[in-house]
Amino acid sequence: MKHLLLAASLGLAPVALQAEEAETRLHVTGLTCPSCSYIVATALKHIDTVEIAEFAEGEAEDGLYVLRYDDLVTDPEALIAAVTGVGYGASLVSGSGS
Amino acid sequence: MTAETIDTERRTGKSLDRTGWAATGAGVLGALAMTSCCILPLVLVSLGVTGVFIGQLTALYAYKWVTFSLAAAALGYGFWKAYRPVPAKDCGTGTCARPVDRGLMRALLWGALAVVLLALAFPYVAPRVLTF
Repeated sequence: MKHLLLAASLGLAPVALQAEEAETRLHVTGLTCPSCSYIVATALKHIDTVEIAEFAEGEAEDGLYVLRYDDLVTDPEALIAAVTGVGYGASLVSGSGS
Repeated sequence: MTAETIDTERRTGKSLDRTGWAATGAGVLGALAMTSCCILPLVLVSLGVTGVFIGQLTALYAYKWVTFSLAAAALGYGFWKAYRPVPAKDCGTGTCARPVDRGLMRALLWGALAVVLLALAFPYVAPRVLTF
């Protein structure tokens, strides 16, 4: 029984180790109104584990979101899809993403 | 208010106040148009609604002053109709023909005014109330 438990815990260990926090920088366009940045943030936060670490408003009706999430649960493509799904443009900032 | 007065109101109210009700309706629609950016999309997304139309609604922010002007004009006319004194010619028989349901009209106009003011204040209030 002890051996079985040990084997089971060793088998699960790699999965637990792989689950780690990823960070992605997302450039969002079309933020034409005062509530637009909050609308995009709300859409992003509907994805499990996503947190908005930082938001910087641009000067051309755009903004940069720094997002943290569990990369086992979601990925940058899902983040982009969430933003485009509410009618805004989104692209990964080079050098970010998991 | 006598039964005769009420009857007179019923008979004359429709023809007298059609423009007042039109102005009230336009004021309410104007108020809704003002919330189309930016309160309504935020509420919809918070409720889990998604769709490209959300971004298109918020693009209406560029026309904020157009919708405000139309709403303000409609509300102004509506308030004048709802609160104006009863014309003397309508009191000739001793019963005044006042427009019907002015209470409902006034309630709708005040509600629409509150929504318009909320929509105007939203850009200044949002950063203090909303968080990321």
